[in-house]
Amino acid sequence: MANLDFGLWMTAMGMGTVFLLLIALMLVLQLLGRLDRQPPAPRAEPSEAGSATPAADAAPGGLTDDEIAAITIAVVTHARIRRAQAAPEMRAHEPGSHLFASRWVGIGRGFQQQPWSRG
Amino acid sequence: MTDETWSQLLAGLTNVTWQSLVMIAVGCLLIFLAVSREYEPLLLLPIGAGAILANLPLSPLVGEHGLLSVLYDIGVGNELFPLLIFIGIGALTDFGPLLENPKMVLLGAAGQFGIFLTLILALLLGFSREEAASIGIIGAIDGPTSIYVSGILAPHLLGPITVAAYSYMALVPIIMPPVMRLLTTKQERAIRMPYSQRQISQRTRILFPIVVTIGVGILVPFATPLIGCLMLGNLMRESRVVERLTHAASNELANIVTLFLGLAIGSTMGGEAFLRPATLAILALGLLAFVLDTAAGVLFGKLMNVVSGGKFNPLIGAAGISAFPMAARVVQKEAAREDYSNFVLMHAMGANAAGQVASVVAGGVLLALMAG
Repeated sequence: MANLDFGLWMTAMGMGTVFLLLIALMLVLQLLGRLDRQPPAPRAEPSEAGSATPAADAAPGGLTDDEIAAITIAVVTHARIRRAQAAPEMRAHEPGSHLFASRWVGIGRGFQQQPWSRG
Repeated sequence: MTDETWSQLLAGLTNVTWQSLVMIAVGCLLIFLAVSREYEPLLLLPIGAGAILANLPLSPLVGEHGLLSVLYDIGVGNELFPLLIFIGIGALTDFGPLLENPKMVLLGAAGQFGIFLTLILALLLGFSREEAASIGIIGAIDGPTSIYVSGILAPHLLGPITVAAYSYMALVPIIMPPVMRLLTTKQERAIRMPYSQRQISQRTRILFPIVVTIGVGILVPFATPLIGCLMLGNLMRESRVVERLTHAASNELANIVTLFLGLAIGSTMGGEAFLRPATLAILALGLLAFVLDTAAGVLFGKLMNVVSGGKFNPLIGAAGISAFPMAARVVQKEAAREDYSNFVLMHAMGANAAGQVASVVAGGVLLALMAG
């Protein structure tokens, strides 16, 4: 019976403390969240067509739909060129074999040999 | 050759006991589960290997200056390894979904009920108070927290508690769904919750670990090592100025410590200490703790559903247990089972991240109450 009492006391105290602490944490997180709230942007005055980008077009990163489309095309084109450069020849050996270094590996080695700098 | 030479040559064979053979079989089983079923392989494989190495006859790896004993002394006996792993977990965890919806913290709290209900059951089965608290902490569903708390309160139960915690964590996708289906209706599982991503600034992401560490550290000093290490890792991640440290904490440090921790835990699984009825009871209670946690989370989710006027999907409550991020994935899978296009993953991730923090807080609270 003493053990049961102890267990119930632990449950009440333990869960009570955990809930209180986490409610306090929730309140703190909500306060932190208020720091991120942006003041409402001033409503743009209607202007001539094409002179201003509609706000709805702006993505979270500040990019317009056109910019995102251009970046997407550039990335896809770049990936296609890299794939074409590295197109594997007919496989003559089993995957994992070191007898044949694929052109992927060859290109990787080639890049490593090239002096390269960011500027 | 003299008799003594023969006895030296055959010392290995003559010292084989049935207990050590059973424990070697248990070690092999853990390795099988890790390799074949991929049940928490990062930890179960070293634990299995440690169990085999520790139970080989006259194993020089255990005892004074033995490798496994040294690993235990330097990292488990003083709770160093679980804390180092927490730095890695913090560096890997994105608390963004929780910061977007702070109310999810309540689900994390509800997910800790299993700890205390299991504690009561363990007391009724005749375990001492320290042992019962250590068994209950399996319900935190957080390996390092279980190891940390049981290492302080009942180090002699560390082996079975760790094996139970990690084995059942791997079985979360099997344990949780039946409980979730049993406690919810089809309509409740199909409730859709709109998700609107809120931009969380880097300032808030950096403030979060600092505020949590200071707040929890002041209110529950016993939780300071756990929460401090978890939040240190997260602070490194979110600050974005110590990429090398973040990478090292979440990769090299976490991997090395996981290996050492697994081997050290495995070395505690000596045949005579492990093969007792108490071990079976611990394994059964551990399973029950997982079930009770899931049930408490879902029931709290149902309460939030009522409070919100039917807008809250109760399944998300089940993600309030720790087991990050597996529990959130299970919740999403269950929701999608009813309605393929229902997407509750981000809500579940918020509750799951809250469960991670809540399990650490619950571990600290448990230690504080036991010390009182």
